Amino acid sequence: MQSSLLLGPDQLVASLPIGASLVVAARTMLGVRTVGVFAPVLLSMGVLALGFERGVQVVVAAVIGAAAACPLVARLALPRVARLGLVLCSATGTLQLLGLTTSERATIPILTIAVLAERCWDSSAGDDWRTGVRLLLVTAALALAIALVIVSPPMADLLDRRPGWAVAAGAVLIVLAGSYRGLRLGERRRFRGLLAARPA
Amino acid sequence: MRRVFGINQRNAIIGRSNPRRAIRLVRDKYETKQVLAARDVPVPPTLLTIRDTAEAGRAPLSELGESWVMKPIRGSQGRGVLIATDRIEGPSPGWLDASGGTLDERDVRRHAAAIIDGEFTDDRADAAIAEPLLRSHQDLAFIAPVGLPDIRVIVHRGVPVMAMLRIPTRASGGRGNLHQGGVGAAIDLATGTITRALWRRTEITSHPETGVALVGADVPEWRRIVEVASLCADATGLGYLGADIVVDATLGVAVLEVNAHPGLEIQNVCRQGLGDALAAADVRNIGPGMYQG
Repeated sequence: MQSSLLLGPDQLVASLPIGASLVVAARTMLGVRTVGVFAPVLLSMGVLALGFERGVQVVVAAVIGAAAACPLVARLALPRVARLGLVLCSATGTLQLLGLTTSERATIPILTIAVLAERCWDSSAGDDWRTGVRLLLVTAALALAIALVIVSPPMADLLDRRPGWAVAAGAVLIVLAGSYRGLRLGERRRFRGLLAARPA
Repeated sequence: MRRVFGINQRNAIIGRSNPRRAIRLVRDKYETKQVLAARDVPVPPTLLTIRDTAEAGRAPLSELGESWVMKPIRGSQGRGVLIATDRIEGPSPGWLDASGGTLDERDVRRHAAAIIDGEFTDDRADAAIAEPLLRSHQDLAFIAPVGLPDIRVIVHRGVPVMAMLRIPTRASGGRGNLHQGGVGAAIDLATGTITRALWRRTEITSHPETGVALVGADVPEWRRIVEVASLCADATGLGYLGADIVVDATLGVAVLEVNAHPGLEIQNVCRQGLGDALAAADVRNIGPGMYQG
């Protein structure tokens, strides 16, 4: 695995449809609910822009920083936009404390995390902060899984030699996953009693 | 194998059955009420609408009366709902809220401004609507003494295919949401009788807090409920919908909301897949007339 590889701009762009197809499959087949629709892809792009290892460090630190602030910020009698601003402060402050903002490329995941934090707040509004934190962690996990697939040797090779094919493969996978009409993994559990019952 | 709908299959049906303009319409509770009322579908009256912050500051709150509900026009899942249960007179006039606290005019105006700012609708500009607080029909209040129970009817091509009564409990904080501890009760479409009840994924026959028998109880005004649910399809243009209907002690049957993306838990409550229910309705080739006896 080329884990420390910094993807070039062409490869990074060509990996977007592959990442999108994985998000579509995770949503339609597994029922994975994330913050925003394609936020995991954006986050994985952030990881890959920094190089996998450094990217993972930055994303994990920023997500933990944002998630840690959620319970406290939720208690403050501030408008939504101010609460969101504080979550961002916590994420970037954590990165600074850990000295993870030295690379000029670190701005990419930081900007992505800013978008993510905002969407997280939208997605969890009406639920408690635990839902927001859970969504954030699931999103980060899916982003890391996407980044892992993209830096895997066959995919990295495809992106390097034939980036156009990677785009086409992504489109085909998106159509296939998007055409799936069956039950999602979580729904098989949710409706297990009904599925096991004999038809009337 | 039972034909149980997951979100993918439901969305495919919605994609085929629900035009975009109809989906946009039902996202706006006020517009939906106007359209339904124009087709003689009963809806709760509107006491007040507040569309901008200036209006929030000068709206005549005295018109709200004794008890009312204020909510976002584009809200969902009960977010941003403010309930006043009684008027308070005296030196500090205002209202009692659902939790027994007090609300003065400033609180109400602040809540309206928050709705308009999109606090409950993901920052999308919204408007506030106030309606009288509905009170349950006595027969329903007997089996569902907490909060306001409502009836969810799934309608496909104008034909009701599945129905359940959502019963709020003290555990659910007076809300009918099943995942928060409300009871779901399957209703036989032809008779309006409760045939099965589910609470926290466990089958029950009586109310978990009061012990009142649920299975076998009849939902009042059932024929009218089914008729009104069918009318929602024609009025809104939705081919697949979930109509949320209440039976108010004074108004009678009234449509609270029409959903273009109704949830799937009704299948567990009714112990029937929506695919089976839709197929059965197609086979019988039934129409609303079937339910009118």
